[in-house]
Amino acid sequence: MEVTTKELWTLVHGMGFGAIFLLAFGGGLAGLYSLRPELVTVTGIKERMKRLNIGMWVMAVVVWLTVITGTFIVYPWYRAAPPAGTVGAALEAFPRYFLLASKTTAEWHTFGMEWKEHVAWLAPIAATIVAFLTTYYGPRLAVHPEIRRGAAIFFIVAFLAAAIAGAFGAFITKAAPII
Amino acid sequence: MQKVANTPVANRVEIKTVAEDMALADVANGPAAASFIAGGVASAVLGLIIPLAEAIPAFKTFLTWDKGVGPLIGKVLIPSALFFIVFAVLGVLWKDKNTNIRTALTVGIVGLIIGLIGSFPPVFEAFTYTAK
Repeated sequence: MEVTTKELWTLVHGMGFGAIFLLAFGGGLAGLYSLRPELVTVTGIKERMKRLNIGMWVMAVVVWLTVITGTFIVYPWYRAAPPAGTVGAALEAFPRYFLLASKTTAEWHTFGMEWKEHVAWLAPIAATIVAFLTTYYGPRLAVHPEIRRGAAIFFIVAFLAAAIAGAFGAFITKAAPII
Repeated sequence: MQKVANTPVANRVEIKTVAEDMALADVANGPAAASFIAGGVASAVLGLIIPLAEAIPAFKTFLTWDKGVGPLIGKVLIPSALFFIVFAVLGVLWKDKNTNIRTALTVGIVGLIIGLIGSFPPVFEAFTYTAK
């Protein structure tokens, strides 16, 4: 079960950092949603604030790590240009060019990767806002519905952006793995 | 939870929760508004810089601060830096102020929408420069 350095970083980026963020979303959203006086007691609010604080900052840090490792480590390997005259199976070492070489796979790059590499960066910006609001306002989110609503909106957009990037990342890795 | 005791089948149970109050000093909504506006500005800039780079080759070249990453590096670092700058500036200015939070959230949402649209390939690829 050998894994190359490039494959390891791809795993760290997608299956490590990215997966942690996506998996934690459900709990974070439930926690945010339930911060209402009609739904929880004071004890309940206090109990979940610590968990929310930790969870939201872990998510924010993890999603920044996801986009940073993806953009600055994995992406250059993906878009590396092959020597002139490289064709056929030799192109497999150059994923972007391998995908573009065939009509049946070109859209994995022109649509999939082009969408993923750009939209993903909305996620850490949005997640940072949510983490800040959770910490700064804490239990007061229960009595500030508009701030809580704003946090939920940014949180959902963060998840959508990360989910799009994660899904296409998985498909592209299947079609043209970085080896 | 209190159970009805000594009955073979409980027809009902009573659940009593503890009624409590918590008193906290409130904080102004200014920092929240700052975060929404910063997020909206950064997202909008991302959504605009992508098609702009497609439309203007010289701008795309300018954004290429690293050959390995290509123009993506400029496209993402500019909005990211703007986010923290706008957040810091407005956060300090509005630290103890109450602002119109609905307007701020609207700015944030509009920015997010611009970011989502501008980063969608069929949209930004429509601006791709073609030499005549």
